Amino acid sequence: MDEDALLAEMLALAERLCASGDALMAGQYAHLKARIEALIALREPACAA
Amino acid sequence: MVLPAVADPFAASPLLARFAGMDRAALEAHQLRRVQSLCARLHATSSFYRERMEAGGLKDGTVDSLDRFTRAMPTSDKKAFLADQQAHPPFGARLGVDRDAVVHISMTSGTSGQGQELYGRTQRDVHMLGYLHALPWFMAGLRKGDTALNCVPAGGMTTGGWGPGEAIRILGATPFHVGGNLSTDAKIELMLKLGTVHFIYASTNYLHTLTEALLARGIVPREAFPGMHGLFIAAEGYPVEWAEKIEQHWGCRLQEGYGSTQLNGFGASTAAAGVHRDGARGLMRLFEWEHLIEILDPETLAPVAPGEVGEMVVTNLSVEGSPVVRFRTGDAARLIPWTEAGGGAWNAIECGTIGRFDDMMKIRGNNVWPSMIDAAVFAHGEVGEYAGRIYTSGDGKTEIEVRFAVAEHQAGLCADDRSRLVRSVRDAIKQRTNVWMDVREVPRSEFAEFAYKARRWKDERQQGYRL
Repeated sequence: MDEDALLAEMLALAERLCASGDALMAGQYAHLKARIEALIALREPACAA
Repeated sequence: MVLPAVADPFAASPLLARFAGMDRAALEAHQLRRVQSLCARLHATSSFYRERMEAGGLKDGTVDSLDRFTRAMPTSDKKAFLADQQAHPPFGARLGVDRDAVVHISMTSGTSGQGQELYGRTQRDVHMLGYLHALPWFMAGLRKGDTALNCVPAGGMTTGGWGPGEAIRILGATPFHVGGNLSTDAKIELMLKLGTVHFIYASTNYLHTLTEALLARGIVPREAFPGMHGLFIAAEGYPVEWAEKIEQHWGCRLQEGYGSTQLNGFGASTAAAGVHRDGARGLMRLFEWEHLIEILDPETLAPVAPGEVGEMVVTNLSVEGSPVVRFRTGDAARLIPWTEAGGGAWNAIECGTIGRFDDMMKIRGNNVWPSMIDAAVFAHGEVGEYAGRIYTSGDGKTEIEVRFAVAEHQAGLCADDRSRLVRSVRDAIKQRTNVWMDVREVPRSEFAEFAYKARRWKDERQQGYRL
C-alpha cells in the first residue's frame, strides 16, 4: 500500500471539501485538511531519503 | 431595551438549514434508525445493556418503534453506572467499544457525593464532543476569525473542559481559555489588551461575576468591547430581569445551552433567539437528531404534559464509547413541545430554569429549588452574590438564612436603600417559594469567587438533630 499516495489523494479530496460554502462545515473541513497535511509533512523526511 | 436577534443562524449553513427544515415524521424516523443501530451494537458488545434489553423484552436488541423502545427499555442512572464500574473497572460493561479504542476520558464532577462516572470516548467521539459544543455556538454567531473567551476551566477530565477547545478550533475561531487559570482582574486586563472580543462562554454565575467586576472598575462592557456579538451561558438558572440587564450592559444577545457529560456536549440551545422574549423566558430547542430526550415524571416515568416540569432522560444517537441509553439525568426541565415552540420540529425546554431533582429542598412542606431563590435574589440588580443555609435551631425548628452582598458597583447605596433591599429580597423569596426566610446583608468579601458552578446552598438540618 502506498500510504503517501493515499494521503495525497485524501488531501486533494479535502481541498475540494474546503471549497464548501457551508460555514458550519468549513472549519471542520479545514481541520480535516490540516490533519492530512500534517501526516504528509511528518512522513516527508522518509520520502526524501 | 430588547436587542435585535442575531441574523438567521441557519442562513450560513445549508446543512443546518436542512436539519431545521425536517418535519417531525422525518426526525423521528431518523431517531428510530439511530436507536436501532445503537441497540443492535450494544446488544452485541455490552453485557450491561444486553441484560437490560432482554429484561425489557427487546429480544436480540431489536427495536421496531420509538414508542416500543421507550416503553420496553429500562432506564439507567448514576447508581447503576457506578455499580457497573465497580464490577467491571474502570469503564464498566457499558463501554460498548474495544478498550483500546478509548482515547479520551470524561468524568462527572462528583458534586452529588455518590461518586464519579467514567466515560471512555473514541476518536470519533472526540470530534463529536467538539461539534456538539460548536453547533450551538455557531447558531449563536461564533464564526471563523472571531476571538472567543472561554471562561470555563479547560482541560482535565471533564466534558466541559475539552469540548470548548475542540469546538472553537473546528469553527476556525481564536480561543483564549482563561477559565480557572486567570483571576477576574487578569481576565479583564487581557480583554482590554485584546480590545476586540467577539464571544464569551461562561457559567451563568461567572458571567455575573465578570460583568460586576467590569462595572465596578467603571468599564461599560458594550463600550469597551463593541465587537461583542455573542454571550453564551450554561449550568445555572437566573431571572429574566438579570438576563435583560446583562444584554444592556454588553450590547448583545445572551444565549443559553443545556449540556452534560452524558450528552457528550450540548443537547439544546436558544440558537440565536436569546433567552427571553417579550419579558418572558425563551426556549432552548433540543438537538433531537443527535439525542433522544424524554421529559418524564420522576415518580411514574410517564411523559409529562406540555408546560410541566419533568426529569430529562437521555439516549445518545451518535456516541460510540460509553453511550447512555435512557439515562435518568436528575435534571429538571419544563417541556415545551415542538407544536407550541413557534415553528420547526424540535421540542424545547424553558430557559433559565433547569434544576436538579436532587437539589430540591423540602422546607416546611414546600418543594423549593435553589433556582427559585436565585431568581428572587438576582432579580435585584443591586445584589452581587448570595448564599443560603438551612439549619435546625436550638428548639428544633427549621430555619433558613439567606446572606447577600451588594454588588461592588452598587457600593454607594445608603443605609435606607440597603434596608429596603433586604425587605424586598425577603418578600421576593416568599413570593416565589411560599417560605419566609431570614435575609440579611453581609460584606462582599464574605463570598469567594466562583469560577464555574456556584454551590450556594448548604443543608445543615441533620447537624441540629443531636441528642
